[in-house]
Amino acid sequence: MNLVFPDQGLQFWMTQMLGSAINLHLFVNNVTIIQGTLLSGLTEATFAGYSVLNLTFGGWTLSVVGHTGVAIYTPQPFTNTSGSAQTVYGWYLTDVANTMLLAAGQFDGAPVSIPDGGTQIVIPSVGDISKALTSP
Amino acid sequence: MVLVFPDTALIYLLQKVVQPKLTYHLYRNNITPDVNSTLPLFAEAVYSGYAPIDVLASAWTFTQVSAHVGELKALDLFWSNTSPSSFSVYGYYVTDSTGTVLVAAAKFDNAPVVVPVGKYVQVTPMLGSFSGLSC
Repeated sequence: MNLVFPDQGLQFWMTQMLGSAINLHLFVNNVTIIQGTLLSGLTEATFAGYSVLNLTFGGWTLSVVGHTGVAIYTPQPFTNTSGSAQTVYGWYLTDVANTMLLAAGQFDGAPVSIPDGGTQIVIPSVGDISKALTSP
Repeated sequence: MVLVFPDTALIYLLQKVVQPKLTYHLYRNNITPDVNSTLPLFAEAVYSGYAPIDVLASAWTFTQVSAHVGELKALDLFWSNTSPSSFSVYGYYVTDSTGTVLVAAAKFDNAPVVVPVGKYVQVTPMLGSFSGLSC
């Protein structure tokens, strides 16, 4: 028997996943993100001007096209006021307690240097697909 | 960039999905659910004594992550036939707590299933997701 998760449920599925606020972070170590990556494997940025950004449900734009659900958040700025350039490798999402790694990605051009007074923009996005699950 | 959704979050996210409850229904028309299925396509069972069954978030007591696949299960659901005659059902579907959004659906392997008086239909609630990559 195949259990089908249809497109109509994708919007619901993503709404449920993103209904609670989550946090957006930058990491500064050169790590390749894989499915087995743990939160402890990421080193968070600490430079002056950096702070974790809280993403609330109202900031997400959800859409379902071609059996794929996508949620995109409004662009988020990380500003460097440390007095010197800072190097970052990517961004990651956690729960609001900062104890659960939800997603992570390395910047295409990593490492990225944020000059003093400069801002690194991140556009958080999350995806999901509708699919059939075959039961045992 | 490649965004990775790691194994550690699979159960956390699935447990978000089942809040505060999901509702399980039987359907009686011969349709095969696919990713394009919508709620109005399903004709819900109407036999005497039938009622949809709510599965509360707290009921999903089995959790497992294996090979990048996360799974939640709840205890089996039973719909007994207390009506005066047998009835036939083709599968079940799952809605959100308001009953207005189709979350999932399945057709029984041996559909239609004829349930004699005094017998029951059994369904194991299960939800799955997998950790993957998004460009």
